[in-house]
Amino acid sequence: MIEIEHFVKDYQDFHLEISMCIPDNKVVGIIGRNGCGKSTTIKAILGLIRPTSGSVRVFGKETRMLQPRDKERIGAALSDSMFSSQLTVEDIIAVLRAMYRDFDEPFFREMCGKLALPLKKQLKDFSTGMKVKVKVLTAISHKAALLILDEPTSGLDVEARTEIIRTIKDYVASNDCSVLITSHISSDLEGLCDEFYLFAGGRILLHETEENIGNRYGTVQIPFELFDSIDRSLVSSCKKETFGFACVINDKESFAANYPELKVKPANIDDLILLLGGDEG
Amino acid sequence: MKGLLIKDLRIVFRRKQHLLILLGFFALIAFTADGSFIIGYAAGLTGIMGLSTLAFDEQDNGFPFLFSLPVDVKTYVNEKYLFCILLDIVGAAVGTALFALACVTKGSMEMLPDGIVYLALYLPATLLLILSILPVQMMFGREKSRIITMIVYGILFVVSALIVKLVGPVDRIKAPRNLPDWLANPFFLAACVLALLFAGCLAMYFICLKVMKNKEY
Repeated sequence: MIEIEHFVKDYQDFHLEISMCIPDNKVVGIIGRNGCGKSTTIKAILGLIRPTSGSVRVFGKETRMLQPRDKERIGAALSDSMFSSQLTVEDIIAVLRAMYRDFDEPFFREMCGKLALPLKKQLKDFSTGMKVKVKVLTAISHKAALLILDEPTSGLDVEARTEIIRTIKDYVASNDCSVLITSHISSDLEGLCDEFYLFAGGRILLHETEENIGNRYGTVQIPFELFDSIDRSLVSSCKKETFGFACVINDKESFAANYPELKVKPANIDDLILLLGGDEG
Repeated sequence: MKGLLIKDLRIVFRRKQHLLILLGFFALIAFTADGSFIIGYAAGLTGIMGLSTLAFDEQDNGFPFLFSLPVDVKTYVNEKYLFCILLDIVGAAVGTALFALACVTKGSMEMLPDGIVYLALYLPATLLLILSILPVQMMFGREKSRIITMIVYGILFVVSALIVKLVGPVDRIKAPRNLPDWLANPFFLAACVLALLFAGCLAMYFICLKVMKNKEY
């Protein structure tokens, strides 16, 4: 669905260099702290920026070759950009009806009711949560084969986040589609994504399936006196703390067998962000 | 294109209060000021409303989302041109209608034919004005383009004033005696002006297209 090969984008103070692939009918999450290159990657996929070098292909075409008909198969919700705040949801319905041949107006209206979105109020009077709901609803209302969701839960309270994630999960369950979703709140993506990419400082630090993260990776606290005796090939990353080192280990079963005196906990995505990308600001 | 036109029309009509005030202002000018000033004024201001939709697209960083929709840069530029031209024509039509109404109510029916002449003069002039601002706004954004447009038109005004001061008013300039008849023909001159106008608009269109294609969002 999406192939990114040796993509490089240089800004004055930032360098992004990645290769990744989003297969058909998979939900892929990009996680990482703010400023790690998630939104730049999304912009590259949507053809909004030009690569310094490398290529980005969507539906087998270079992004600059994508025609409006191809873009009809993409549903995008961007973190900091949407329809003009002068418009109402009713206006947006009229625009989407004219733009997408497969626009599902009854679904859109039904979801507006479910998500308590007023139809005749201008977007400028919407709360942050309501605006995000409109963005996500716009992305999923025209039977898109590729959903691109940039930080769809950013700035929302727990209730609104749960509602958004549920809406996305429902869409994925009932449609053949690929999804690329970014977030710096990893718990939002747990249980939703098949694969994860962990970004830090404009690079990919880790690419794993959700299953593998739980099965393979673990965290362990190693006291200073034991640290030198540890097999470093089992350790992905370490962070010095007051008691010793907090480490991510990449084969928790082997580690537990070799060092039974150390307690290994299964790693979650937050542990990986903190310890693998921990030195990033 | 249809979706973008609907979006822009809805943005314009969402500002109902603004539209009503503008219409009232046009009526006031038509019934109090002499002459056909209202035709050019209404055309110009309505055309500028078309430009304001570009500012609304730009507001709150709207371009990235807009270009994630099934819209390419060429369609966007074409739509903006079409929308501004349509609004300019609508403004000129409203201005002409108000001018005619004012003539009828004031009993100065003899001025009515002048309205057609003024319409023929003002419509291309205001179109050129609007379509010259469009690429500047696309290139520099709303805030910077205001300053640049003011500076450029200020310079043009000063240069024109200097020329008039140097060579005298246009109606007192005598054509050289040895000019061939076809060159002094007013229809030929009007055709030349229109051709230049068309060429200018076309050049601005290609500038717009290039500016928008080269931009990153």
